[in-house]
Parts: sequence; C-alpha cells; structure tokens
Amino acid sequence: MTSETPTRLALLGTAALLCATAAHADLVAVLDVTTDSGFSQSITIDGTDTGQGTVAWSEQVLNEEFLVAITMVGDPSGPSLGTVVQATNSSSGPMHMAIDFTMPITTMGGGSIYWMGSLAASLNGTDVLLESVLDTAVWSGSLGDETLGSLFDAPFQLAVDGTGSSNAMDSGEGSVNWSGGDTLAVHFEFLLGTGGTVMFNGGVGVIPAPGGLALLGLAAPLRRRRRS
Amino acid sequence: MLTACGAALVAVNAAAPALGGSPFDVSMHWEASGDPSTPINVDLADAGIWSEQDDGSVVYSGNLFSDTWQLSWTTRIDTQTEVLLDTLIAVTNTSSTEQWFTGITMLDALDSTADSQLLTLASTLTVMNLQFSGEAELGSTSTAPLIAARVDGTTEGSLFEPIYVLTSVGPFSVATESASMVATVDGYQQSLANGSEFRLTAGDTATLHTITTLSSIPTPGSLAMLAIAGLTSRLGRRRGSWQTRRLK
Repeated sequence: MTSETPTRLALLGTAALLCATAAHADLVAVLDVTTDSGFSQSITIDGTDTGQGTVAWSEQVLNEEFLVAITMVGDPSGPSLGTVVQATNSSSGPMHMAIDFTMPITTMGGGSIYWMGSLAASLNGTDVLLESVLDTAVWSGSLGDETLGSLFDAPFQLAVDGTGSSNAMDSGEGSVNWSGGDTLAVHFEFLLGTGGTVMFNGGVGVIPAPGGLALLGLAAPLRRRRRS
Repeated sequence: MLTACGAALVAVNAAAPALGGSPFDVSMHWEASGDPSTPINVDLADAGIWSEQDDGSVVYSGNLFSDTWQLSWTTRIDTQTEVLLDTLIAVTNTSSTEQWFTGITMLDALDSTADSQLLTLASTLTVMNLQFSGEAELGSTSTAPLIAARVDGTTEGSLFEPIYVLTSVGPFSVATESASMVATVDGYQQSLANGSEFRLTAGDTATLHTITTLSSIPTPGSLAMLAIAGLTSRLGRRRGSWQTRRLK
C-alpha cells in the first residue's frame, strides 16, 4: 500500500500553495531517478531562497521497492552545491540506481576553472553491499557539458558484514577548461544490495582557476594541520 | 522567525482529517532556537509521503523549511521480527548565526508483550562545510547527549555524550562519525523514540541517521540453539566454498 497518489498530490499541492512565496521559478532544478527495475522519472523542483545567497531543494521518490530522498543546498553564483542523497533498496534483489541532480547557475563564460569536492558514503543494513557499476564512478560532477571529476572511482565496494553500518570518504580537486554554461550537475550511480540504505553527504564548488590556486594554497596548511 | 510556510503547514495538519491507512502512529517534534514559532509537532503520515515496502517495512519521508532552517526526514518502521525505528534527518541552518535544534521522532501505540527487551541504538552523524573557507561544526549541548533513545518517555540509551563536537575543516569538506550501544529495557513498552539535540553552525548542513531496535532477549535455551545454528551454518559455508574450490 502506498500514500503516493492521494497523499503525495494533496501534500505537493498544499506545499506548493503554502510555500509559493518562498519558491522561485527561476531556481528550478531537475532530479532524474532511474533504476534497473524499470523505474524512470524526471522531476522539476522549485528552489527555496534561503536569504543567505543559497538555494535549497528537497524531494523524495518513494514506492514499494525503493526510496530516494535528496536535500540539496546550492549557491548559483559561486557556484557550489552541498548534497544529501539517501537511497534505500527494499526489493528482493540488488538494485542498480542512477540519480542525477542539475541546478541552475549564474551564466559563466568559458575558461580555466578549478573544482573541489568531497563525499562521504554511509551504508546501513544486514550483510549488504554497495558497489560501482562497471567502470562508472559512484559520483561525478559536471559544469555545463564539461565533466569536472569523479569520486569513489570504479571498482568501488562498501560492505556491511552482519548488521550495522560502514563508512567511506573520498575527495578530489582539479582544473578544467570549459566553454561556458549555466548548470551544475551531480550524478550518482551504484548497485545497492537488498535491504540496504546508503547515505551520501558531500559538497562540490567551482571557481575561476587563479582564485582556485590561491584557495588551494590556503587549504593545504589547513589539511596538513588536520592530519597532524 | 517561522515562515508562513511552516506555520501554515502546522495549521493545515491540525485542521485536516487524518489520512487513513498509515499502519503506524509516528510523529515528530521539531524545535529551532532561531525560530520562535517552533516547537512544532507533525504526524509523519500527514506531513509527507509514506509507503509500505516490499520487505514489509513502512517508510515515511518529507521536508519542511522556514526562513532559518530546512529539514528533511526519512523514517522507516518495521515490527515484523523486532521493533525497528530508523530515522534520518538532514538539517541545514539557513540563518546567519549558529542555532540549536531538537528533533524527536516517536513511534506510539506499540503492542509489546515482552517484559524485558534489548535496546540497540546506532547512529551516524555527518556535517558538511558548504563554503570555500572556514569550517562547519555539529555539537551537543553542554548537558545532554546528542542522540538519545527513549522508551515510554524515559531515556534508556544515549550516544555522543556532552560535550561532543564534530568539525569539518576546509573547502566543501565532510566529517562523519558513528557510534552504537546496547541496553536492557524492563517493563511493558508502548512508545519508542529517537531524539537528537544539537547545535549547527550557520550555513551548514548536518545529517543524523539513528537506528533504534527493541528485540526480545533470547532465553538461555534459544541462545544455545542460535550458537548451534551458527556453527552449522559456518560449517556448511566452509564446505560450500571448499567444493567450489575443488570444482575450479
């Protein structure tokens, strides 16, 4: 049984009505969810201006077999994006899931840019496995049509033996030459074992390369201090 | 200040008839120090979406936001073999100052028949710095643990004792930590709750994933049976893998 149809429609309608003053149509993001069980849905989400220069998006896709819940906080002018993605597989077999989120950014001209990102994965369940699919990284980011980089590169595996949780973390950075654009996107793709719940927490940010190099210089001592 | 959105949502929930069919009575209490219009109490079946899963559990999910905070939740409940309350909340402090938050997810009207049960509490905390500079901090209050499990309103288990601080340093960095504990709970149980009380720095996002279970304490006889079953299963697995190797 599901509340999907009546409850979802009623609540979405209510939420849209109640939150109309806060939502901005020009801050519409797109969430795409695809699974190997035949599910495929593309959802447009109105962003909420937080008043601090960032926009928040939140959405849930729920049926009898799986759950995908996302909370995103992005800065369109930065641009940067903080991601919270949760996926649960309640079906009777491993599920291949692909989750794409694309947010609008202030149009940027091309040139050399610098990106930094990190991602933590937390897997919960009983004897459950999270793994990359073929040679595709679990996470990748892109700016316009240009791929920034990837995290949890293939082959990647995270396992829980018995009942409990298991965590992994990855980070990356680099410079990319791109031709300009107005979107920042993240792509998650993985195989999740039955009964498993995975939560991804991460952030990615982009700045023009000279500033990025300066920031890298600032960040390095911080990381060194943290390691020590 | 509570936004029109948050205030109106609470009002609608109070006025609307209960959307029938939800198998569980599960609610959430939410409070933010920077929002005088909180605390609010929401019935999760009414405030978001819910679905029975193929594995027999029921999942509730949704989100609320105001001028100063954004909250999304996913709560999974399963009472088939034990009582499972699995709660994940993601919170963003969208104000310009540090805030204190309290979130309690409560499963009511339990039909427990055991006099003594095993309480398991496990939690994973994550905090993200969504800036190119500075750091993000998720911390406990000075007096209360960050995560607590309550049975019939009494705190029976806790994690991340005061004063606990989790910090992520550097651009777009993430920090995470997990902990778990087990305790014995006596008496007839009617409600089970996951609670969190924490502070979060401005502009940052934290997620708190808490899993609480109540299960029967195995009798000595059944413990022996379990041990025998475990041994048999291990022997069977060994034999299976040996046969596989031989076939290769």
